[in-house]
Amino acid sequence: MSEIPAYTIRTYQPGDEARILEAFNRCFAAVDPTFTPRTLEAWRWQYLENPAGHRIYLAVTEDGAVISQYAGIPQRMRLDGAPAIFTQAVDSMTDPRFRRGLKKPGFFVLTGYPFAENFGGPPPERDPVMWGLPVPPAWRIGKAYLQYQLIRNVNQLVFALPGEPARLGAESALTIDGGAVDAGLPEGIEGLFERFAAERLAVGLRDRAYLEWRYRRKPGHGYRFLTARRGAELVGALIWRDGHFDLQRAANIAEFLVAPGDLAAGDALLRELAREATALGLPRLQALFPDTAPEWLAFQQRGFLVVPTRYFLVGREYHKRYEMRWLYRHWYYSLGDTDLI
Amino acid sequence: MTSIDRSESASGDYEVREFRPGDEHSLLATFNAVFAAENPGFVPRTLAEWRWSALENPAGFRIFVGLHRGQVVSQYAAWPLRVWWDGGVRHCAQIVDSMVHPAHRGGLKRPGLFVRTAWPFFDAYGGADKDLVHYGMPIDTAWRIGRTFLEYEALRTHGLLGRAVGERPARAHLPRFVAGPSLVAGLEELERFDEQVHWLYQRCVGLWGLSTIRDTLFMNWRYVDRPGVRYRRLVYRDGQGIVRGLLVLRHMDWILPNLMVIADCLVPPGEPEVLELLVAGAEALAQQAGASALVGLVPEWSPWFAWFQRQGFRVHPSDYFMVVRSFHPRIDSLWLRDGWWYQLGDTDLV
Repeated sequence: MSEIPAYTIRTYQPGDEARILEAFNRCFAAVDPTFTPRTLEAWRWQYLENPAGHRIYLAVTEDGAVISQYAGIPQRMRLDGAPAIFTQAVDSMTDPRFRRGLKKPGFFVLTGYPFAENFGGPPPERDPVMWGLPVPPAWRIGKAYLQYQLIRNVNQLVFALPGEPARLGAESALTIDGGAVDAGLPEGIEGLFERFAAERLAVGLRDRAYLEWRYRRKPGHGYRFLTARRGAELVGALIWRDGHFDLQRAANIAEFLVAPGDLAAGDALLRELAREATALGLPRLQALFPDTAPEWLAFQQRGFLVVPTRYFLVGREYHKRYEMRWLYRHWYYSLGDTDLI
Repeated sequence: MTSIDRSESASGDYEVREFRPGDEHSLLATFNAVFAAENPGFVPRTLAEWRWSALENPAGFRIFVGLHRGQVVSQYAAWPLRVWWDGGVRHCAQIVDSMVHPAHRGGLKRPGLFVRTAWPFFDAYGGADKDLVHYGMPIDTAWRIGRTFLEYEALRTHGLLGRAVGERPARAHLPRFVAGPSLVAGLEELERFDEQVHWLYQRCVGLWGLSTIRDTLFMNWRYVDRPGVRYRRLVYRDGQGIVRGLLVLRHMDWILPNLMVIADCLVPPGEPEVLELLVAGAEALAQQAGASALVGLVPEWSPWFAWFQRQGFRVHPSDYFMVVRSFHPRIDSLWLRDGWWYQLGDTDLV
């Protein structure tokens, strides 16, 4: 057992990143044999370049070594039509050398307390919801000490390839196009998002600043997009990536922005995605939506099956209205809202 | 953490204790008053129905009541169920019908009489050597109180498997059903369950970490002897007369009007041909009854979850979510999520 050195719990300060990264790579390499060390570029993208800012609490020794971190990725939301921020808890860690040095609660909780106290609260000044997809040990500790609650068990929608996911026949008026997000986001996507979001009570803002950051500037990931246009009007956009989610390689649908009720545009996008994914030899399409979103049944009607994942969505509320049952019913998200792809 | 006064004196003029014979009349009067006030379509519960629910359960009863001047004004109750866990018979209990008479909801400082009736209930019945788990699918109000004061924990949200009647995928090898109880060779409707139901359960239980024991005691109490409710007990029997699988069905208004609800499904793993016949039979019964859809619930970890979808069932969202309080250190919510087999018939919803 290591002796606990003198330490301070505080927010991130410029210059901490090298020591955070050192601790992060040591902690996660110790528990995940497939772990690839995170680069400074990737860390800076996730925390410092996020247009919504960052949320980091650290336990640091007098010489600046990071013992523990409780961190989150804030996301700008449209909540009941007004701006707000939801924060996804990610990358929480405690250096294994110090896990046994304290009586309960440990550093995970000691950094989590001020994180919650200082960042959580009513909008717009503070974050009304914090959420995450914890591993079992974090869930058990979070329940006991940090008021974590279940929002839903996470199931995904899976379409086995080859095949053609569709509800309707092809519509000749639609033009389908696509390309790499690195080359630029489709014109008109912000207007499409406004139509997409019009009737949703809680949805992450898909404006250009967010989409550029999330899909274009993320280091080391090749996201692709597909668009559907009726005449000159953008009526559907899909962002996807070849990669693994829940241990399965697939064409993972990060964003599926289609105006409500435009089944033909959704069909066309998914048909094209199935063609491209099949050409790459991918075995399936995967998507993630809340089961309370219209996409849930619409995808099943196109032949997607509901498949359980190992993940479960948990949250902590800081506002009476936005409690877990309300979030279950009204919060829209997709795979791109998570840090899983 | 806020300190909570659990002393008897905090309960004021109320006596909270376990149910005793003789309580039933004022208990039932309070029950009917409470639920009639909350549900305009409520049909008052009869004494026979109450006795079935509370006293005739072969696993016993779990009832605490709060009394004011000798009259029952609150109840915290559950259906105990014998379960198979870790190679032996134990008990779990489903919380049902908990209530406080509206005139007595403000009589105590927080927490109110609901919680003060529940505390001794859990103390008396829950424990590693008593009921392993108490569970239920609460309404939002009960959930908020339970989470705050009673250690309720949400286990999972629930999608319901549903398929419109008439949307059965074409299967050339499936026989056409004729109207009437004979259905097709091998399918029949049972009057009562016999010992074969337990044999069937024993063939299913191997993959289940925790499950209610489906034997004649439970199945006949739950699906045969219940007053005022008709269940259809559909079984498939092979050429040797062995029951290979069963579905229990109830035609009812539930989340939507006019549904044929699958209350129980018991088919051994690896015998999809049996379940396919049974579901086809259920479809035929639903058509005869004029029901609009077949609806059921299967834990997502079960192979039957994917199987039902391949038969054309969709997973529909529901407002139902399973809430638990575990009393055993080896049974936490993650373990239950991945290993507890239950059906709608394990709840009082159908």
